[in-house]
Amino acid sequence: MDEFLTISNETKLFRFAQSSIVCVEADGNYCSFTLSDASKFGFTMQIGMVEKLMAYQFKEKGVNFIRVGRSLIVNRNFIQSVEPAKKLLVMFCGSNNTGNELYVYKNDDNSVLKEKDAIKKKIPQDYTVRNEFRTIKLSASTEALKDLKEELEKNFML
Amino acid sequence: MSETINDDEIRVIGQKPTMTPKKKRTLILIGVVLTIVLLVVILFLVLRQNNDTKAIEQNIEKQITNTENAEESQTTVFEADVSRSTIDATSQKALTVSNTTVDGIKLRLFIPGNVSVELSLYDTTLVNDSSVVFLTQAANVRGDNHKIIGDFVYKSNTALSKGAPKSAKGFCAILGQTVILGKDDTATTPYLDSALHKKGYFFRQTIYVKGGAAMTFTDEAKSYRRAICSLNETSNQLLVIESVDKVTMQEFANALSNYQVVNAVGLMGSFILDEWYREENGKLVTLFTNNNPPHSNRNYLIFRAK
Repeated sequence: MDEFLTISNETKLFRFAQSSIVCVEADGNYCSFTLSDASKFGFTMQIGMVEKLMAYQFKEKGVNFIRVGRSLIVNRNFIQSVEPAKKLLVMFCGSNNTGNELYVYKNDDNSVLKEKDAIKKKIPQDYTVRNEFRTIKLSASTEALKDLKEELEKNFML
Repeated sequence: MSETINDDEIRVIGQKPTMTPKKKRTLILIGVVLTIVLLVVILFLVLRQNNDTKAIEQNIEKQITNTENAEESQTTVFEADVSRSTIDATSQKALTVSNTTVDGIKLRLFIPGNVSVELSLYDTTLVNDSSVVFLTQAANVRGDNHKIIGDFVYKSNTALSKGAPKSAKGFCAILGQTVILGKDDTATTPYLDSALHKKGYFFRQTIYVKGGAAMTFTDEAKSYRRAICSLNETSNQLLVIESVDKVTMQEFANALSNYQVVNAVGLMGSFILDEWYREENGKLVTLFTNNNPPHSNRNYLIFRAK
């Protein structure tokens, strides 16, 4: 069974499957979870606390998550590319060929048509179905991304 | 887990803290820098120590030169009459005893090595003092009142005995490691003053050889003769020479002169005296024993191993 991260505050409690968390971005005292289906959840919680909760609840399974600088936690399984020189970190974030949901993109601004509407209704002319992964672009310092690249290379380089 | 993290660092969550590559690089860099600094400091200290040692050596040499210059300036008038001997402190052996024959006169040589030369008053503990490698009597003492004949200075600012008798025109002054032998029949010789001033040693005795030339003696009596001598002018080797057989003073003086002795000042003669030396293995070799009743003015020339 998948591990879950339980986040709770005064008003709500959420449980996120470990394998669904793509990244956590900090913004002052807030943090935003991005999940594999591209959905986002915001909490009034510092990212340091999220890191502690992950370490506490995931134990050694938390190694999938890497704190990158002060503002970012990423799931290494969702990393598509690391480009330290460009300070660019690209994460996979949902796809239209996995799972049961269909993603339909609007041609002019890449906005997604709601899945239900796409299935129930005939796909509008200005929307197309693209069989490709969606990604999100994150930014971090060159040094941090160099270290991240080296960390990932430990497991993948011959 | 560390609370803080910088923007240029990463941390794997749930993993025991390990050194990041950046920290490794930083630590290696710090290690290299510290090693270099340490080497520079060590090099600096070694160089400084060498300089200090050189400075100390130069200072000591300067002091010795100054002392010698001061002594020389005091004794310009008498320089032709004295010889100055310094003990060879580099020699491993404290004392070398050997025999030789000069003009048919058998001589026993006591050659000091790494020793200090001292005078001593009557002391029964000297025979058990393993540092003393040679002992013989030095200045003559009158038989009637046991007074030392001539000036005698023993580690003091005041002379134990005073006077410059006709029979003892030679003198031996011991100033630190320098032994000065010569002839001076005036009442106040600068070397006597130096010995008093420096709390050294000084005694008067017969002069056998002066400036390489044997003195003239008329006394035909034969006895065992002894002298403290300085050898040729180049080596300035100090040694004690005694006749193995009874000889006249003239025979002894001639033999010393022919043995290339520059200056020779007598030590107490005859066979009624204390004289012994210690072999390298510590064995005591007694040559003569003075069986007369001892008294406080019986005095000795001793070589003490360092």
